[in-house]
Amino acid sequence: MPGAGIEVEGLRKRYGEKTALEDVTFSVAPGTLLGLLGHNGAGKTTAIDCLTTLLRPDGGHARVAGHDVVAEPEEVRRSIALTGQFAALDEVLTGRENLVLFGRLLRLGSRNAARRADELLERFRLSDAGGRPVREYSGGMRRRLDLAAGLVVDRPVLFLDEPTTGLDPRSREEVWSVVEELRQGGTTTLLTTQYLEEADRLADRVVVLGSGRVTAEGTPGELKDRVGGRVCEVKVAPERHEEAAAALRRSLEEVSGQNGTLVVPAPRTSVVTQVLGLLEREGVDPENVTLRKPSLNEVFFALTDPGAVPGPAEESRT
Amino acid sequence: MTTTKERPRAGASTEHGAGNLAAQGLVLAARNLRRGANAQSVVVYAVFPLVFVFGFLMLFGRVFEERGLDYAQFLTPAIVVQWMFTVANTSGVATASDRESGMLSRCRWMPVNRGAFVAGRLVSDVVWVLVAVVVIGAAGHLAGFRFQGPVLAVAGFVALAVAFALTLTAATTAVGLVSAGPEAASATLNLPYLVLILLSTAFVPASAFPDWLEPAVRASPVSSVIDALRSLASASPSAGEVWPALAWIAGLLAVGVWAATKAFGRAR
Ligand SMILES: Nc1ncnc2c1ncn2[C@@H]1O[C@H](COP(=O)(O)OP(=O)(O)OP(=O)(O)O)[C@@H](O)[C@H]1O
Ligand SMILES: [Mg+2]
Repeated sequence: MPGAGIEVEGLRKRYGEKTALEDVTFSVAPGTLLGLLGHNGAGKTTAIDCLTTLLRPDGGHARVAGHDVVAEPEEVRRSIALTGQFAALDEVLTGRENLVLFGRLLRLGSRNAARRADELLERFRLSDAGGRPVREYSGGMRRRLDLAAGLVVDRPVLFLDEPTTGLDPRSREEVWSVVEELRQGGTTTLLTTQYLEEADRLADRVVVLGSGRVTAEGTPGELKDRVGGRVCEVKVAPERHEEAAAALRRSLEEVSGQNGTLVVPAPRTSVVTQVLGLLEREGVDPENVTLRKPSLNEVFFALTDPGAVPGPAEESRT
Repeated sequence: MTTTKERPRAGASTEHGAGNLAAQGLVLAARNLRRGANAQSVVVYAVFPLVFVFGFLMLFGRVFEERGLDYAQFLTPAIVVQWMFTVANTSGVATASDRESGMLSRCRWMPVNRGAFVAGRLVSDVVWVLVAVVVIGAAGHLAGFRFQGPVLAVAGFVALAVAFALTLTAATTAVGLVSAGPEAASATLNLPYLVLILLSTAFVPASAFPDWLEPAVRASPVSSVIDALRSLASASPSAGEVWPALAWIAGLLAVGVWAATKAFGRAR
């Protein structure tokens, strides 16, 4: 379906005093996959809830498959499939009964709903488990069933909220191949994730959300280059951390770290010399300097909250 | 200038119209019944009414007989009303658990009629009410309860029981939609149930209450419904005994539906 993209402009949402989304703008071209990257509490689920008509945005505009989410909610709902962060399944019913139920709610008719359920169980390697109640499923099986539930009817736009969080490598690989297959078929996909690796593998473009705002945007390659393939880590006395960080920030972007450990992207080896020079001028004597590959965490912090101190992740809702 | 919004082609919408509401409501009702039809609830439905009918009869039967009252005739409608509370409370807890499991959200993001979720609950509750009325009627019959009036009064008895249960369900659905979870919903619903049933004419006549409490007990919605059911089961049903119940039901239903609709729109 041409024109089945997603356009988000100046989207805002607050929960009481708490701002969850502030002036969020991005778009997903028809038939492409956008990775929405962000830490716990960044606003990923809130964005998806606004785009799937579950939540009414406080400001801004959003169109899904050409339909305004506030003015034409039914048209939006008829264009989308959603696999939410937490499985939305009936635990008492069997896997098959769940899929038949959703097919019938979408007015497929009992025979078509049953046929579709069997097809999907087969495709997601759940045929054997299809007769068992969902409460007996493992986390990975639940995820797969929840993904299958989104595909009961073909929709041009697919939303996936952290589809692989908590999955083992094999299940993750399976989810990825389904997502890739769907994209090959022309489905427009918005996928949220906390893993750069996942975005790297699947996404055409990535939007990074940090505390409700878009903090970076580009292709996965562009974002990685911005952080650089390596980082330079410097250890200083913890009481001089702030001083050292301030010195580095004068000439370098994206300085992160805490408690005397400072991390800066080091795409070139010369960054090390630069760091040492800056610290010397400030009179800070580094205890240790290393050049190494960034951990995913550091890439993440660099992109989501430049300069921010990585603290304990915000409590995630369950 | 008038702008007309483009409508989906006829038959294409799965969200609007009575056809979708009915079809999806029935699908959801069947699912509710499938969930509820486990060994435990069958035992509960088959055994509890017997325990209540014969238990209370053993406890109070003689006392009432000495006063010239037919306790089986007095008690059976009360057990029916008590079970209407059970059906409605179970339904409210089920709604809370649908909210927790994400089934409620699913009904909101899928193009499903906005009323189907609640309609499904009401339909499955009607089925449970009818099962309960039959089981309790049979248990009462064994104990000596009889429908003494015309068939029309029997139909009225069943209709009133259903109407009262649905009124309660509207309220318990609202509670289920706003509560923190099934356990919280259950706790919230149990207290009003106990207070309402104890401060009513369910198990003893209003005259048995202290003088200062008696008028409140007489006028309570639960007493009104129980007294109406008693009248409909008696040899001479009277409209005068049924009107207060209908007025209560109409009023409470309006409030309950309003609250449930509002809660549904906000529930996440
Ligand atoms: N119902 C709510 N009431 C109040 N605050 C909320 C509610 N839902 C989310 N928030 C807050 O809004 C912010 C964004 O939450 P959101 O769930 O969108 O984040 P997220 O990126 O999906 O996080 P996670 O990775 O943990 O799923 C958080 O600070 C969260 O605490
Ligand atoms: Mg989330």
